[in-house]
Amino acid sequence: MADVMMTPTGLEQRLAYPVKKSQPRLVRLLRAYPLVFVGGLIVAALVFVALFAPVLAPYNPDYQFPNGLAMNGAPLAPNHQFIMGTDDLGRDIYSRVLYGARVSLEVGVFSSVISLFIGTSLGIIAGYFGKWADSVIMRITDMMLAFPLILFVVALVAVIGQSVDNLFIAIGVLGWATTARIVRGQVLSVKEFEFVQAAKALGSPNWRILLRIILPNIMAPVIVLTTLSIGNNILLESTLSFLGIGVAPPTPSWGNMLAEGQSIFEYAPWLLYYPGLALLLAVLGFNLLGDGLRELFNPRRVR
Amino acid sequence: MTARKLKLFGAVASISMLGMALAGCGTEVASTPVHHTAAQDGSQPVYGGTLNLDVNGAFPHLDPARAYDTLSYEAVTQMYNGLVAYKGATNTIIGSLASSWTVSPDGKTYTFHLRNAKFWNGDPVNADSFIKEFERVLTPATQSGLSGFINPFIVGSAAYAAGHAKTLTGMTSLDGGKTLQIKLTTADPVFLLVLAIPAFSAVDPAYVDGHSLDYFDYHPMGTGPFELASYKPNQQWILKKNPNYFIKGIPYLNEIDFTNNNSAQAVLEHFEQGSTDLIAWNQGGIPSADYLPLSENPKFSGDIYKQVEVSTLYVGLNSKVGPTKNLAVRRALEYAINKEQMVKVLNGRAIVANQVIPPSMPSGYEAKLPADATYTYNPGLAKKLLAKAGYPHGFTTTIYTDNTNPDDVSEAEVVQQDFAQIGVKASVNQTTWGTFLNNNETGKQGIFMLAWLEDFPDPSDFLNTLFNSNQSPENNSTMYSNKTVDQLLNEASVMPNGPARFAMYKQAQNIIMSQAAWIPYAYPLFTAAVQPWVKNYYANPNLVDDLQSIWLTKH
Repeated sequence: MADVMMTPTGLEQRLAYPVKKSQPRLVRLLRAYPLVFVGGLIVAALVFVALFAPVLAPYNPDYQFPNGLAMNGAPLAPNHQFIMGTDDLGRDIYSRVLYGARVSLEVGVFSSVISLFIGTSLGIIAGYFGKWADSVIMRITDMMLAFPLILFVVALVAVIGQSVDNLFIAIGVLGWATTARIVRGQVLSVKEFEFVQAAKALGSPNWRILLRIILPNIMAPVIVLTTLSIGNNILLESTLSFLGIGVAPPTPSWGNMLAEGQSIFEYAPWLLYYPGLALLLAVLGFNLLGDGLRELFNPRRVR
Repeated sequence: MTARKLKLFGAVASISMLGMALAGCGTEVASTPVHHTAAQDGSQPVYGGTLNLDVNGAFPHLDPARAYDTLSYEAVTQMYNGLVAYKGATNTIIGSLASSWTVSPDGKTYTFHLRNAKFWNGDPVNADSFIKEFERVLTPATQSGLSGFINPFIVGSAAYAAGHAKTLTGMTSLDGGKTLQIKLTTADPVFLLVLAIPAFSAVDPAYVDGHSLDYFDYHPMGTGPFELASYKPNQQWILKKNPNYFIKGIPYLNEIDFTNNNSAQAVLEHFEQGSTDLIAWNQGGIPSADYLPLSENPKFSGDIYKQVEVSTLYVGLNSKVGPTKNLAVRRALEYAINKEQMVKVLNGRAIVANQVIPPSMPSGYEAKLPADATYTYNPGLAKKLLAKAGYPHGFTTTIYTDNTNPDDVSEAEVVQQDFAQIGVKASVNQTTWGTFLNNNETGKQGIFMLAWLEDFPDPSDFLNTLFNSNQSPENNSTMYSNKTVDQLLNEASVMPNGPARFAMYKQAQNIIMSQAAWIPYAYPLFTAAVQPWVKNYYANPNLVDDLQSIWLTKH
């Protein structure tokens, strides 16, 4: 825009490199990282839906409408009363999808947070103190990573019982291995920084070093990982519900809606479309957001 | 038998003791081997061909003494024969390996004349073939669930089962093995019906004694129309025609191939593409997910065969466990259930039930129940009654069901929802069929979803087996116990067939219903899909598929 400039002496001078008038920061960021904003919007919408589902949903998600099934007992296709159709028991799918957001979000977020705590603690201990603590923790981590997570979770849920709370506890308690690995790697590199050596030389106690120096410097990738794992955990919950050990009926979750719909897909595909779409959006949203957070910590990003 | 789509027959079923033989008191019944002729459309039988079937899982047992579920029966029925059998799709008993029999005037002695039949390995069938099998059923080591059918009704059966006797004294071989005599402790007209149950088929004593129990369970030796030619464990079983079958002229098929496949989607596709010939008891009837795609498709809707099952679907209310201990609570719950909705969920493949005995049972069904045994759908009334019973705010409970058949879970959810309307908060506990049944037979489940399919067409099979206090907890898993009902059932079991006996069963059922031991909600329809080139298929309500009678035309 301003490719002509006034010199102090009042001459007009054409600039070789036009200086672009700076746009508002928000616009700058939006133009640089459009997908991140999309992700953020999706996640915000998800949170909104989960919080306000009772207000947004037109009907009780568990109610089996007498007029919710066709004469031959088949589910109703989307119509003006049930905008996403009904399921095989005559329940409104739209209401169930909205309430399903609660379960997905609850399980996805809380399990990730639990994994975050456990993984970070163990990773720091392993990385900072080294020697046998490191060996023991890393071997345990190896075992956890070698085992298929689903099998572990199925076994744990079978023991502690089937409920939404138990579900995110089970996933959280068993899913810390990747976080621990990454945290340990980060701690190992930060440990070698000169200011850490300096603090040690000055006699700073370990806890202070961990809390004030190490922790703040490793959080970047950890936060990103946690956000990405929310998407994964939402998918995991669906898989478990699909297998029948996730959320118990009649509570709707996108996973158990998919499980119920897959056998009658031929004549009632809307039972799969809508919860499937919701799942897609949720995972997409969290992944895009996670990407964005990664960029946030990138020193070379657009500011 | 305890039934669900992947069915298991009742563990111990008792037979009633009646005064008269079904086929007539003390008469001689001659019968000829059944020749199956033209199908309804007039087509003539065609010999040859292979029948391709998808089975719902591996056959749990091929040993007739141990087979007591509909899946095992699908194979066992083709490989073994008993003294008598049902004629076609009817309840009429005709001779099978027995060419004729007489019954003594007091109804306690049956004398069967045996045909000249051979096992597949050439060994002859004689009286010992049956004595051997009856003894096996009674032996605890066999773990047969059907010993209750003959113990203690055959003389000496109780002693043999307890190990006090080395032989079963009530059964004797006469005429060098050509005649079998069975002595009963009291007269019993349903005895012939019991003999038609596959557990009481002829086995080859030499073969059985020469092999272990487990070997015999997978390497059958019978007289049946089809022999087990080969099998890949859990994958495929191939049955081939028995060329020396004792009924001349059948079977028509050369081979039956059972392939393990329990995906409803795949079963549907195979049928639509024509690679399988029949969806019947091999899948426990048409799987729910496949019923509408077939029935609504004009190309296949004509292939659907329907048969009323002699069976009742119900919600069991435990009389000893949980809030249902209280009679007033049980009666309140009866008004809470929307049975029309439950039938709709089954795509209308059932009619609404109002009592234990289904209308397809030849006797015992009551056209009108007394007022205190009649319940209508009335959630308002249910709530009021529940409050009066001491639960104004409802209560919390668990509904137990299996999830091997997805319909059972759906129905449990309907019940859960109906209960929620009256303040009862129920969670649904679902496990696979085997686990569910094991737990149910402990009598500790407060509320559960189950069904009962007849073993034979007599009200005692339902009422005595399921409500006599001496049948708890395996069969009477609602732990129902009522002195008057026990008395009625026990008395009726030694009465001669007739209006007086049926009046006692009617009275018993009225008390049971007024005491709300069950919430019966549907009488199901058995549906099968039969390809147009498969001829003469029928389903007998007492049996699974009788594949010896069908033939294939060119396609």
